[in-house]
Amino acid sequence: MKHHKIQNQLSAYLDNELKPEVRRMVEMHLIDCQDCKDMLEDFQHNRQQISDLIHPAPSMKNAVLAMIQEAETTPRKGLLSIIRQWVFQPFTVGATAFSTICLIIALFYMNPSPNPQYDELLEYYFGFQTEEISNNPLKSNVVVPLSNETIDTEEIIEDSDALFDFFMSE
Amino acid sequence: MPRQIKTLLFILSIVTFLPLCQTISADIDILKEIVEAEHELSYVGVRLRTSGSRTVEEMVIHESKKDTYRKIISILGEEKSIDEGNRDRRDRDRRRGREREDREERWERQRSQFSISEIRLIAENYELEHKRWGEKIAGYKTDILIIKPKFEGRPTKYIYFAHENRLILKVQDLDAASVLRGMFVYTRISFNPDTVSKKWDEFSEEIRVRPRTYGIISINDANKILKKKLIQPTYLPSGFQLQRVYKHSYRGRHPVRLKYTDGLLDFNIFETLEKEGSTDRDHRGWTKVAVGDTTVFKHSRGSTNAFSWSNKDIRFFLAGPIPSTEMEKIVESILQ
Repeated sequence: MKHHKIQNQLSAYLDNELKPEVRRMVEMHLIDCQDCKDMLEDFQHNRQQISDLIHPAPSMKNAVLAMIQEAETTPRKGLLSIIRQWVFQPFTVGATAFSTICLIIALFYMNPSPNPQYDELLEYYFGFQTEEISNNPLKSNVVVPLSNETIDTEEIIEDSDALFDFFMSE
Repeated sequence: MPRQIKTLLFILSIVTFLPLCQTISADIDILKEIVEAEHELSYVGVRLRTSGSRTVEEMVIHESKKDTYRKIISILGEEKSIDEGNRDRRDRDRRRGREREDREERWERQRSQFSISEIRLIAENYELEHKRWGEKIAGYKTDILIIKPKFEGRPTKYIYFAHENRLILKVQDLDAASVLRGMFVYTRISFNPDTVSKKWDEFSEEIRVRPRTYGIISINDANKILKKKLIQPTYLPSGFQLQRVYKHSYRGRHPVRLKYTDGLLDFNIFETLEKEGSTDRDHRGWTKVAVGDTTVFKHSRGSTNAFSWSNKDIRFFLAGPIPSTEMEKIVESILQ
């Protein structure tokens, strides 16, 4: 029982956290007990290994001082170089190119004009005029076109001839 | 000259001219009968129609006293874009093509009667000639009514109608140079009331009548809409007269339309309140000309010549199948 109690105190013994009388008791036991002595040695060995792995973290003060020192020793970058560095990042270049293409396409198709409604009104007038006449077979929609516009009369005649042929074959 | 000879000459002149008067009168009667038949008869048929460079096959149905409806069932010849390289034009053609396809997918109401005033105007401005032809169209013996112009630059119309019931079976439109510009001809037609009724029941569910976006108004109403006295042309081509004034509704705007006719040809003048200044950009593809101090844009689409300009806070749009020179005179008369 005493043997187990001593083993439980070994870690605290190594850390120097035991009261003097308990510490003395542990030391007396270690003289006679080989098991506990081995266990203590294992503890010491493991601690040594762990302490070899741990690198002490630099303090905040040291980190800041190092940065200041680095900034003082390295030549200072100009604003232009910072912008250039930012602009020529692959992601920024890609996003900018994509946005520009989208904007051009939008402008191209939306066709903004100072008065877009009027253009639609012209279309409405034209559409109405054409529809009104084509919906009334008793009306005529035949005219000599403006001089700067030409109508493909050959094509019209061909269609009409085809229609006549169709009709005559009935 | 002895009194007896004078009397004899008078009687002879009466005897000579009376048959002529009867012929003209008879031909107007034929036109009236044709118009009446178009209104009164029930029929369902298929016809070929060509206009410009486009030929279509369409179904037409008319149940007595109701409107006539037509629907395209196949396209036999399609127009081509004249200027493939012009992006603006190509885009406009595509947009119009889509709009036309939308229209063609449904039944369209067809207004096909002349009013009494239009028949009177046709008799004044055109010569009517009725001929017995005898050839059959869609199985019916036909007569011809030729409507020939009294004025230069006007079209000629050939109406082939069923001798039996006066219904129009074929129409040909020739321009002033006697070039055929458009026509339609029935290939099948039935006047059987049972067939028409059956077809009407079948199609009437598909027919969705679009509400009209315009109505007749008085000149006083037009003055109120435009907030000033309605501007009318002081020059009109021979035989034309103002038929009616209409108020249109389009996207919150209310253009006033003045319809002029010589019976056979119609042209329209739209007047609307100016909202913002017109720019060249609004008239891409139009030709800019100066009439006095005013910039006028002109354009031609198919057989429709159009002029657009702005003056005294009113935007004008003049359109119709009228020669360009005549339309320019109309514009000048409005600007004066």
